[in-house]
Amino acid sequence: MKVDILREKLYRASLLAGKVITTKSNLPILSNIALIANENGELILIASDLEVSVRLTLNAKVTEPGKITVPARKFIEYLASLNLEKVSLEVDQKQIEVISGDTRAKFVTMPIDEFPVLPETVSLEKKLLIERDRFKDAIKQVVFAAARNDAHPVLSGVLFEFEGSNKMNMVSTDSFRLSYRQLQVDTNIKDPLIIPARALTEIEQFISEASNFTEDVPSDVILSLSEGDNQLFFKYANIEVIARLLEAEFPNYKRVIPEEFSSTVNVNRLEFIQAIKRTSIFAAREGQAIKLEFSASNGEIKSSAQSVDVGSHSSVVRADIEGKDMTLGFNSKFILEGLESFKDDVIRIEIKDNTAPVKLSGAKNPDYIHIVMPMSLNSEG
Amino acid sequence: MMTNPWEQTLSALELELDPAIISTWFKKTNLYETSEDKLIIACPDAYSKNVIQSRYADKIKDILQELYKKKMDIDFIVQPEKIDEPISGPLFDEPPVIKQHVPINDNQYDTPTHLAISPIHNALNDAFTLDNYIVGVNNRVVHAAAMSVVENPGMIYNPLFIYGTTGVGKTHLLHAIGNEIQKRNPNFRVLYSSTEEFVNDLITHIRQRKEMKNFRDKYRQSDVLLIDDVQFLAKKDSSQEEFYHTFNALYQANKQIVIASDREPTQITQLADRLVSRFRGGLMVQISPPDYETRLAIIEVKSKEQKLNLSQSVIEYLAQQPTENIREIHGMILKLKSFAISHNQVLNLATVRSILDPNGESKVQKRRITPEVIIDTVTKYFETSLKDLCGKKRTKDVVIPRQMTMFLLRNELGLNLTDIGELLGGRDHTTVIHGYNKIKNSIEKENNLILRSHLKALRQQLFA
Repeated sequence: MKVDILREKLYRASLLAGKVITTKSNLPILSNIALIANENGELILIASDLEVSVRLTLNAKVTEPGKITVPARKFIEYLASLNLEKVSLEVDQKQIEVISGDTRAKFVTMPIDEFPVLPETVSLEKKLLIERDRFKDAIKQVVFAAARNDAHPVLSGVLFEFEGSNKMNMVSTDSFRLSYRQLQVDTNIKDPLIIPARALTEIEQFISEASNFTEDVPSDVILSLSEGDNQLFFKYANIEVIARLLEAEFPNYKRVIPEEFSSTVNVNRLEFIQAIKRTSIFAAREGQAIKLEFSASNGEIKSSAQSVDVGSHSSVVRADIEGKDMTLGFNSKFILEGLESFKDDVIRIEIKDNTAPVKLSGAKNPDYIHIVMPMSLNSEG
Repeated sequence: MMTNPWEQTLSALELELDPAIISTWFKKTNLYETSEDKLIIACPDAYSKNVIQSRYADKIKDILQELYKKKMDIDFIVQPEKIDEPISGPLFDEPPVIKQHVPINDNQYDTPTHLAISPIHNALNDAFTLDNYIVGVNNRVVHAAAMSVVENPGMIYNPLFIYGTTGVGKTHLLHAIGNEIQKRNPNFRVLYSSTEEFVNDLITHIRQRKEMKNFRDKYRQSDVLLIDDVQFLAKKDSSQEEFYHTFNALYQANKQIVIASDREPTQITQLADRLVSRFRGGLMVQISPPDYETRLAIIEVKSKEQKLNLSQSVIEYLAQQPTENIREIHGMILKLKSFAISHNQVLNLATVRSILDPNGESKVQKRRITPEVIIDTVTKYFETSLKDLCGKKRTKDVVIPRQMTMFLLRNELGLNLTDIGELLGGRDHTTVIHGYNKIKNSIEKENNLILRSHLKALRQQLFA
């Protein structure tokens, strides 16, 4: 193998590919990136943890085609340390030489035969077309609410649910909060899918970073399903992501979205976020509740917390409140992440009582809602 | 005929291939179908199917040929693993319903009707309260922690992890915390459960294919969960798994969790790291065995509970028994009580001795704590010498050991002041009483912690 390529492009691509590599597997080859140089003047980078795989195709000057795998972490670290514009890759026996001007490095490699073979991507009939920026926004609004620990594998995924061929709902929940985003798509998929939130996070980054190593950035993203429907293929410019779908039943989220409320609050989102950030400093222990008092007559929200270790705090934010006065406890991280997932200036908060889920929505934007569960406050709290 | 040819094949493969390869590619494969001359294997995904098919199919065929004594064909299909688990968590659980019932009353004009909240079965033993929990040096910290938990359940120390050897009062404290919280918050669901009960409950639910929801509701909907003897989770993987989820559900909902164990989390063998780190995430406190004074107080309280009148000398005798296990102390008191009832006899020291130590072989005597033993122990402990102890030096490093010896000789052996003076280089009895009082006051009135810990350590060495 002999390839010449722009250093920046190779570095960016390796860095992105390296993101799917996890320490989960004990198979050494899975911490490597596969490099394939072909006659078409392409250098293909592949990385996988068997749940999410990525394949990046870069244009390069290929003098001699070849295939090899290199240890991802060190390879990326090394590329980052170089400062010349171009690098050459040359495979000699079992080593790959990275040459940049007078700087030379040889990496120990592993043969590509041991590298996993990615699922075939030919003749995919079930497709989903989404406008790029809208998809990026939607991903950001849902992935943070998916479960991060391994307690509930299903909840580590995001539900894609279709209504007809033009409407899709993306839903995620970790059972403490829930994000629901509706968006316009074009699809022939009918059955719901559950996509690992981690894969979506990568996809979002790939979309954002695509312009760094390709000139052609389309305005639409294409997702398709493998035969047998258990792998999702994402293709955007010269990037492909293959993610294993979660085979499970997503919980019935609709019954969790509250419909009856006794108070409706409209508040400036940024002011409210600042007040909660200040308050959360005083909820010393992770997961400790902060107290929010909604007063309709005073037209204000008082946000307070106290802890033995730090002290106490209260902030007041003006708000437009209709209905009953309410006092609720919240995990500050949850309510903050919820508020931060909106773009609207004014946020609407709808409350039934202090034990029922609370609904957040953009005052003008009906296609995204976020539900968060209050916490019980101690009488002293 | 062989039971499962694929399992046999896998065992044969394990001998030849790297364990990482087995666990990555073969772990989740299953026998899908067999026929006369063909096996179909289900792989969890396309990756493992591709890898097995392209790299290991020939090897597998060889193994099968040996098993079947003929050529077998093999094929692979992808059959994704199905995740099948009930979802629970605050958003999806029904809110805990507090059952209310109106007492039926014929004479509704006399008594005002009121809503009574039915007590929830919490498995708490109401004999164990914070009032009859004796606080000594050994458990002052844990008692303080328990009080904060009682005052702010779920808010300050969560989880509270209590550990200490058997018979130091862990179970008592768990029940006491539970009882006190229940008393202050009648609406709270307080649940005490031994780990064994938790495990058995889980197994029953799984075996009898009962609704797991019932099980989960029972534990996850409590406001306070008190788990005893958590060391029994060792090596029980699926119970650990379930307990982990229970723990998370409660912890994230700010519900109080109190855990008792006979050792630190890190010392529990084969306890999943994630549980260890969670147990260590709150406050971990140790209950040490009760010291002499605490034992005195415990015996006094326990004998009163049993309506047993014991003289001071008997109480002291019991406290001197070489056990730090409160359960054993309790046992001694019960033994005395049954004797007192059946013989209708007043318990004096001699009777007590004969009851507890019928052959006159008290462990105390076996150990033979003599003045020499005490002096020897003290000199070793303080790294001083008998010569210094009996000499004229008045530096602090000699005076304290000397006074400590006086204190111990008087307290533990009941020697008189003159004899003590004789033993320590012919000192006057007034010097001895001064030394004795000095230690006694520092410990009792001034609560000198350093002296206390010295005394405790010395006693442990003497009685150990």
